[in-house]
Amino acid sequence: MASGYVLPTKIFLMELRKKLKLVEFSKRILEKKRDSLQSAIKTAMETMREVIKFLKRSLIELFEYAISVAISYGPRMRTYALAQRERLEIVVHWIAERGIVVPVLEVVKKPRIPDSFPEGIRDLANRVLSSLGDIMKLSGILLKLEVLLRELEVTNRIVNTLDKVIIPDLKEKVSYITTMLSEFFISELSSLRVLLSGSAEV
Amino acid sequence: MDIDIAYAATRAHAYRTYLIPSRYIKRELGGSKSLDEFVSYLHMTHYRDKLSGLGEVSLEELIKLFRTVFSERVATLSKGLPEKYHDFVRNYLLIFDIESVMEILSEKISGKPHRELEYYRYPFSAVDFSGFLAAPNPESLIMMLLKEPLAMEEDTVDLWRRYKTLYVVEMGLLRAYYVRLIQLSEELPGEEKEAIMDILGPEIDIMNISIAIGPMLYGYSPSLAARMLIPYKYKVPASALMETYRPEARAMMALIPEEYRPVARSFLMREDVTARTLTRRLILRHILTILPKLPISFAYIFGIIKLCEFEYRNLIAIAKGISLGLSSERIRSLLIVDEI
Repeated sequence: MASGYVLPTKIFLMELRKKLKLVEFSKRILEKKRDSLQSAIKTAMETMREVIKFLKRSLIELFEYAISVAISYGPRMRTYALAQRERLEIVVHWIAERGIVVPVLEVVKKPRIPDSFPEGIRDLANRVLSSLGDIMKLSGILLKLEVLLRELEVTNRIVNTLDKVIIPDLKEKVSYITTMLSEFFISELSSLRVLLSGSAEV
Repeated sequence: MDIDIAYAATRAHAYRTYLIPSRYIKRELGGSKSLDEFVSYLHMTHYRDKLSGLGEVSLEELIKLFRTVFSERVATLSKGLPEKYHDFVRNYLLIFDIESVMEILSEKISGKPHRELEYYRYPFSAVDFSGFLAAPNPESLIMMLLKEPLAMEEDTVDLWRRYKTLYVVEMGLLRAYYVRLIQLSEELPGEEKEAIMDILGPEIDIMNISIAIGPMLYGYSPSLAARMLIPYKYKVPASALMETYRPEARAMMALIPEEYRPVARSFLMREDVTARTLTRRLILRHILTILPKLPISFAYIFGIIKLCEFEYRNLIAIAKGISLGLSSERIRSLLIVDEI
């Protein structure tokens, strides 16, 4: 039992009570954060549902087209991809949303598609570039959702640990010290009584 | 020792029975939902013996297996053919080496490390890949392409120096490749030559159409396109196509025979993947028409080699499509089969 390590003193009891108060306060704050995260996730999912509904057709079609080109061109796809010098540059901005830092993606440089790509590969590259805004939007929402879900998981774990382990443990310790101190008090009172009755007889 | 063409053709007849029927490729294999299901259907074909030695089913292992089967079939079909026929098949198979050479060149340009030799080399490869891999820079590799067996024209090196694009080198290699095949086919007897060009002709014509359409769609120089054209006319005069730039696409379409129009239309609609598949299906139809006409000939053997190649490409397309999550409809649209 944890109370085995506890010093049954009044000072320790006061410290424990302060600690318990602080932990309960933290738990209440984290519960509020959890509720806020849940509502943020709900909002993000609703936005995502709308965006996906809007983008699904074109993006899935683009994805399928990309695979078809890769299959049709075989190793030539890798050949031309490697030879492409200019790369796509994306900057990730981290912004705070309801106390959580979430990523926002921004395309800072689009590569120029050379005329000298074979027709199919050039067409795919152009299609990907023209859909880049949509792809970034969807990626941003998915990343944000992932960050929020991870944060919710961590918060939930902390709240559960506080609720199921730390707070009961502290309460148990407080109750143990209180009991021990009462017993000491009663025993001291009895001794005092014995002492006082002895001195009266003398 | 050279063998009689009749003996080789009989062997090709036997190999035809090993090929997976188009319907089975389209329905069962093309409709598989997972690699395991795909492999279970493949167990019903001549691949079952090879598959029994396959441990875990993975895309890489399957591609290796298909490559081995294809290489073995080609080796057996071309084994012992008289010199002129053997030369033709050896040169025809250079198309696979050209793909690998281009990959090595792009790795040299981008500074990426090369893969192991076996990745680039087929068992029938005629190219010295270790020499290409050891080339110190792209320039020296391009100079190596001028030598046999690829024998690229020097003109392509000038174009490369001016434009510094891979496409120019690739088209230069393909041009040299087709020119050599045309020359080799000239040495074949009349009926054989005609049948071989019935198979190769559409491929060359459609490549010329795609080169000629290129500047119209993508705005690169018509003079560059003119230098990339393959100097051969099967059904379309390539040079006449180049003269239609100022008029519109309609003028070009008028020059293109009915048979090629769906392909040309796909090129014009920027549906290159569809155009490539349609071209191969067109060649497949030509082969299937030629096979019963010339059952004891080199054309028959070459037709079967092409069918083996199409089967190889189909199986790779299905395996890749399944592992990348492509829908069955999409996979089927990429297949080289005769009944879609």
